[in-house]
Amino acid sequence: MPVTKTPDGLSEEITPGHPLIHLLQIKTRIFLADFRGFIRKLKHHPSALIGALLIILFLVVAFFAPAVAPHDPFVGELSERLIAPSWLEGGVSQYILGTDQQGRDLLSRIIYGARISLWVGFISVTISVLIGTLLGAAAGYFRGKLDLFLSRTADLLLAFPFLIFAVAVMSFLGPGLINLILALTFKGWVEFFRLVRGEMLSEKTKEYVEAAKANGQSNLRIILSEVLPNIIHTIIVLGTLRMGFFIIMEASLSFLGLGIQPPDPAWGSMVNEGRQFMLNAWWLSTFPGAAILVLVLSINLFGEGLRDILDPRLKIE
Amino acid sequence: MLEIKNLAMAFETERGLVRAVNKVDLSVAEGEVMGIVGESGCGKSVTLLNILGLVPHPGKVLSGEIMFQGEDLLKKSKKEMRDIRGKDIAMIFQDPMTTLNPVFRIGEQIRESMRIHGLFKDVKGGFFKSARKHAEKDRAVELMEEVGIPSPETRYHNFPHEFSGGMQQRALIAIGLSCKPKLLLADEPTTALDVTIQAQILALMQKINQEHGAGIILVTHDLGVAAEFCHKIAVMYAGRIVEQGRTEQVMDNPHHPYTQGLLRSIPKMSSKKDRIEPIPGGVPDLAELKEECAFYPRCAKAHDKCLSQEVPMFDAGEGHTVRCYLYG
Repeated sequence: MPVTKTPDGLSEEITPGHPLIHLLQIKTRIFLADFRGFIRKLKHHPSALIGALLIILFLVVAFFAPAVAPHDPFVGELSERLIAPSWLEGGVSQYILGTDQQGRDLLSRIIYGARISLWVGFISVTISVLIGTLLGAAAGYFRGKLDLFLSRTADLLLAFPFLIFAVAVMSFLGPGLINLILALTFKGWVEFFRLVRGEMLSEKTKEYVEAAKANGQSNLRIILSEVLPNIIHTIIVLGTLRMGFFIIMEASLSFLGLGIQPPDPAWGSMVNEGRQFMLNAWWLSTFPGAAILVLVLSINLFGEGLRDILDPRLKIE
Repeated sequence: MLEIKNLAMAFETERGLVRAVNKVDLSVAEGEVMGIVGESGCGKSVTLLNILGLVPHPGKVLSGEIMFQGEDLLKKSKKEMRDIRGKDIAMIFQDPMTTLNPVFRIGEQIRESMRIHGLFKDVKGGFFKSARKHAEKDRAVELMEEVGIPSPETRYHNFPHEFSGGMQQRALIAIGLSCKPKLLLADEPTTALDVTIQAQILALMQKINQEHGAGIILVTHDLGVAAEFCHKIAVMYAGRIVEQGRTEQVMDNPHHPYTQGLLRSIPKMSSKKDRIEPIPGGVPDLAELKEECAFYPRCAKAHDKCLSQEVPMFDAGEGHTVRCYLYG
């Protein structure tokens, strides 16, 4: 049997199987098929490219933290406390960004902190996307009492400011990584719910859904393998942008002492710890703060670039 | 093969029942092409959706039965209906552009239907069921060739937007044919296409009808299309069938004043008149329909009897039936 080559170089089409597997296949396939075009478009979108490169840098550094970090982030010499960054007066080349009040290397702590920020951001976005998409798709597709109940719940959650709500949940659950993720997703799914529900409402009226029904497809199948692939790009864009937001929320909670607890090096708690030394050791708060800024900025740049690239109405060349 | 008896359905709205389909009797024999003709909103498309059990939300079947191969479709469970849809009864929609799912390749969409209905479920072998996949693919390519899509091997991998309107409609017909349905429902399949393509698509459907022996119900508001293509024609007005018969009976010798009016309002090349003759008045509000003849306000031949009660179907000879007292 001759293998037919498609224009984008894919040699074989997907086999639709179980709806969930089908969706997974579609996702990977769409991803692979569009990857080259995506990279090409990314090259023409400078801010998205910068964002992407910085994110990759953060990911690599976080992944290889033990190899990259020059010192142990948890152990410090008290005799070497509050050393200035290496380029300043009193700085030592051994500690590039200086040391904190316990003599721990600041750079190493920031590097390990990237792990926490990225983890929290990624996990809470993933869970929020899953919950929000599932409920939003069901609400938008089936309407009725389910939709009414879920929409009102979403409205209720939206009435609270995010941080206040997260603070309340955290003080109820107590600090810790898992509780932090719980607190973020507790309200985080709402955005995705509203997005997917709205998209589903508009997609549902399109004729291809009617045709799928006329073809004998079940509701689950129509939702997962007909409609979702049509709206997945909006979910990806919102997911990316929300990840930046969740990272800030994590940092804020850790800053308030409700999130990650010392000695774990979360950027937010590092900023908080450094606050008391602001006048004579400004670098303690400044560099973790800058790390938050750069990471969130690059995620947002990338997210907005994604929106331009994935939105078929905004063709960029 | 398909027999609709006394079908009535309505949409429950705030203004009361909107009777979209009112006591409709229709029958399609094997290999027969039935045309349903009427203006927009007369209930022709909804009748088709009823056959598939896909009437949109506030719609409800009030009475009647839809017998398909000896079984009442209205009594079937959701699961049973899903098995029938796309397999025994396939539907072709009006606008091919929006009917195809924009994110999937044409070939996959043709295969999808075969896979749902397990057309090749006996084909075993290969990692990840590759043997079945190849069987489905071969059949899809075959189908694309049959419906006249050039170089189907390459076109198989195209996305819908890379097809022209006519080619999209061909692809949809291929999807419809994939499970060898016994009945094909076509809801204005040529309305969104330009005239030359219309002719090609109709010729294709004619070929399918002859070669596969599939019965076809064609819904159209184009009398010319119906006259050329159908064996039988049913004329619908305000949810009711007002005239039904073989094509030549209805076209050459229209009985109902509405059918006569419709035929008069078609512009003719031979006519010397500058203006076509419209039917005066407009379509009645379906929510305010009474039992009387719905065409009464627009009818030139109306008399008091038309208002008194529901007009029955009268036999005008040789299976030609008319819902008008002029023939009673």
